[in-house]
Amino acid sequence: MFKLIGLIICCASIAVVVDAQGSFGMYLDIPALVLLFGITLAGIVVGYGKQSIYYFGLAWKKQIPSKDLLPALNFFNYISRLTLYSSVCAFFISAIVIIINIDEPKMLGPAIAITLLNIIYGLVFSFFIIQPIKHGVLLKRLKAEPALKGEK
Amino acid sequence: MNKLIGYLLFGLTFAAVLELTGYTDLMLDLYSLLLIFGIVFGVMFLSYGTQAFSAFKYISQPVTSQREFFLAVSFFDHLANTAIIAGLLGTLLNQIVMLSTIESTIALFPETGFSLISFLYGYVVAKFIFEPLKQNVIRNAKINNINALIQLHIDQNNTLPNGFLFMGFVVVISNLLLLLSSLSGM
Repeated sequence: MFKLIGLIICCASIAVVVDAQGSFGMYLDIPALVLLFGITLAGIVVGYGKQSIYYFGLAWKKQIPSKDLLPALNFFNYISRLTLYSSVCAFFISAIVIIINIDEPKMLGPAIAITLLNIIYGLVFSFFIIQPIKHGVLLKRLKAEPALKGEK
Repeated sequence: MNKLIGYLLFGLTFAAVLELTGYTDLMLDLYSLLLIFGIVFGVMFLSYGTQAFSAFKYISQPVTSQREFFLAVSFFDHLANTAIIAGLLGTLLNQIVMLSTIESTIALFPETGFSLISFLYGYVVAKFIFEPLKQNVIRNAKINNINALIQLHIDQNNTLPNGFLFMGFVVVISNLLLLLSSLSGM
């Protein structure tokens, strides 16, 4: 319940700021989304394969085995870094477009926007979706342990 | 009591600098404040749920086991990282509006300046509110040694936003240079 409230607070504060400064259409860019999710998905598949489904499943599990905590944290940190790599790629793609088309100033705006939008999508995806899942796993594991200690 | 004096000193320092330089009106931006505090509290509830309130007790109450230490330090790290990232997000959102409505070279500078206010707020909230609270946890800790793997993960948490910060500023500065060069050539 509290998690839902947190999500609503996050979305509302971003929506208010976006609405005050411009329109929502300004912030939608399909190539940036394709780049972000394509690179993230490919990186997950190459790095972890089938095991990634298990690590995502930990977020809904009641009991998390002790040996899984640190690998799971590594896994979620890896996804966070993948979003950064996709924004580096986006930066170079738009830089190449700009440098090739420097005599057409109309191309500049959309080309630069890909860079910025990709960083924004990456930030939102990794810090508002992946990191909360990671910290939820951490909390669930660490909260369970002191009770066991008390029993001994 | 110490915390109150400390925060008062932080506040007074910033107020004095702004007052001496006369930039108070320029530096006030309610939307940035809303964005940063909204995102920090939103992400806090999103990640920790009701446990978020009990994690704050470690400021005064010493941690006694490695698990509590890991939990408390990651909690404050997470909040600090989120605040910095929220500031960067505000800057980038502002930059997109600037890019789509830019008309003249001379309007580029004030717009870029205003967009950086949000980052400043995020940095101040992260480094002067959450970082000292994390130091409290570390100072009060009543444990003998820390597992090397746990230390590694704490370090990883700390370095997580650095890449995004670096990338964000490379993009902001290079955009400024590119737009300057292209607009002055037109």
